[in-house]
Formats: sequence, C-alpha cells, structure tokens
Amino acid sequence: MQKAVYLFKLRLKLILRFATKDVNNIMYDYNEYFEDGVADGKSVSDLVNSLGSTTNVVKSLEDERNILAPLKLLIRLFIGFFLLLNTLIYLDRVYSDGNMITTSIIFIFVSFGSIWILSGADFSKRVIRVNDLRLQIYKNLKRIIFLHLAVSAMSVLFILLSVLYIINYEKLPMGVPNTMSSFYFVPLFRTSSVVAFLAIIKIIKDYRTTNVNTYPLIFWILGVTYSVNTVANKFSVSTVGSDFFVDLWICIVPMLVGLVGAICSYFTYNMILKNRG
Amino acid sequence: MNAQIKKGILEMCILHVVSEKEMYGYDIMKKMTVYFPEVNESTFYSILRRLNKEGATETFFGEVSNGPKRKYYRVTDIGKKRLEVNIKSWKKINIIVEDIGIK
Repeated sequence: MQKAVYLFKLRLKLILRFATKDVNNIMYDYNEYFEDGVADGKSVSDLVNSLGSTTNVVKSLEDERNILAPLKLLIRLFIGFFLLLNTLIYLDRVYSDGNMITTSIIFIFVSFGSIWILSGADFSKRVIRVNDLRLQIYKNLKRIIFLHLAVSAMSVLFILLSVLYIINYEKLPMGVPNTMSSFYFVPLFRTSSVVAFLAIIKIIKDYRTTNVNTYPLIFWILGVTYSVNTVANKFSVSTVGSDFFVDLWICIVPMLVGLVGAICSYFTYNMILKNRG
Repeated sequence: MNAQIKKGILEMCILHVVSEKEMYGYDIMKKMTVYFPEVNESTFYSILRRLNKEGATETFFGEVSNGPKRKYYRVTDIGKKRLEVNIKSWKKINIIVEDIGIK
C-alpha cells in the first residue's frame, strides 16, 4: 500500500512537469527499483526512505525536465476537449439537413482525432516493439471487449430509464436538448465510461507491470470503436419510446457494431505494425 | 566533491560496467552502491536514462527464468567511443594533478 501511494504521488508530480514519454521511462525505473528491492529482501519502508520524499526525487530529476511539458499538456487537453465539444454541437446543427453520410465520416475523424490527442498517444518507433506489443494486444483486447460490453449494457439501462421517464412524464430528462440528440449522447456516455474504466485500471496496473506502452493502442481501438458506434447509431431507427423492443434493438446494434469495430481495429493495428517491422 | 565532477565520474563508471556485461537497472545500481555508498539510488537511474537518451546505451527486453521480461542495458558504438574519450581525459587529469604536486 505504501509503495502504491508513493508511486502514485511521484507519478502525479511528474506528469505535471515532464513529457509523457519521460514520465513512463522514469516510472518504469522506480517501479523496477521497488520490485527488485523487495525480491532482494528489503522492506518497502526501507526502500521508500532510501529514495527520500517524492518532492526531493522530482527535484533531483530537474535536469531531465522539459520546460515546455506542462504547457504541451495544457494545449493538448484544450484542443482535445475543444474538438469533442464542437463535434457535438456541429452534429446537432447539421442533423436536420439529413446529410448523414458526410456527417458520420467527419465525426469518425474528429472523434478519433480528439481522443488520440487527449490520450497524448506516443507512436515513436523507438518506443513500440512489435513482439511485446502483440502479447499486450491479446491481453488487452479481451479486457477492452469485456469493458465495452459491460458499458454498453449500462447504456442500455440508461436508455431504458430515459424511455420510462419519457413515458411517465411525457417530456425529456433534463439536459437533453431534443429527442434525436439523445442518441449522440449514448456513444459519448459509453465511450467516456470505457475511457474512465480503462484509465483507472491502467493507473492501478502501471505500478505492477513493466509495460507502459498500451496507451496508444487502447485509445486507438477506442477511437475507432467509438466512431463505428456512432455510425451505427445514425443508421438505426430514431424514435424514442414508441416500442420497447425497437429501443432495445437500437441499443444492441451499436453494441455489436462497436465490438466488430474493436476487432477490426485490432487486426488493422497489428497489420500496420507488422509492415513497419 | 563537486557535483558535476562526481556525475562525470559516475557516468564513466556506469558505462564501463555496462560495457563489460549487459545488465538490467537494479543490478547496475547494486554494483554501483558498493563503490559509491553515499550516492542516492535515483542518481544512478537518472544517469542511465540520460546515457540511453543520448545513444550511449540501448535497451532491450531479455528473457528471465521467472517472471516478466526485463529491460536490459547494453553499450552502443557511440557509448564505447564516449567511454574511451572519458577514460583518456581521466588518465590525463590524474597525471596533471600528480604533476602539480598533489599526492
């Protein structure tokens, strides 16, 4: 527990001052220090004391620091959220035109791009090693699919509750602009839940595993899954509350399409890496 | 001793150790603390990372009998040259210091 807290505090301080790549390298070394120290027979408190406080550790790493890193982080967050928000607004405006295909294609690129930017994905060739990554892909794919299904089930519940609400009160739940827009929020809800899920699991896992390069992969798969989901939503029936089974079908189709999307992304990503070699 | 000088010496020693045998981080650090017990562990890792960034060493993941793959360090051609240069300067400085009269 003490080790997890120490590493978490260290990582938090590092993220605000160093570039993501450097943070990952540094965290790897400190994680290894704890793991090997314990294997060597030392106690965790001894190891923590030998390192000193996290503040001092970060101070000692001053010369590895990139002054621009926090600025880059801020810019990245700003652009990411800006893109996501504007995409939603754009879609809401354009839907009435009935130009579904263009809208969907634009949305695919923008949503993928914004998630990619938000994640700070690092695709530099030096960092990714194909053999390790293939193993990670297998391990993570199961997790991603499971989480996707779990969160889709949650959004089914979410929509059913909204349907019940509408039937009861004959109006929309607060915060939803109009009937059609509620279907844009479903993929957003689903994806952001999966992102939150994975981020939490990743933070916990990072302090126990040696491989920290799964971020690009996870968000790449998510981005495509999210986009495919949205396309599926656009082509499904769009009346709320008229028929229970129709609404259920509306939820299941995007879920299945999203699953197919995740699997396709996995194979595509694998192929790209194989050709890069 | 002056911090900069110490860092330079530590760097030379670490490069030498890695050039003799490929090792992973913790082993390198353990060996170094035997000779430099007063130096903080973070410093060794920091030097290793810098050497890696500058291309003097490179990392690879190697097999270990029990557990996950480990990140090993090995010296590159750039690193070997750098070590040579460092050792030459070190020997020169030693001679100069002796010549001045410091025993």
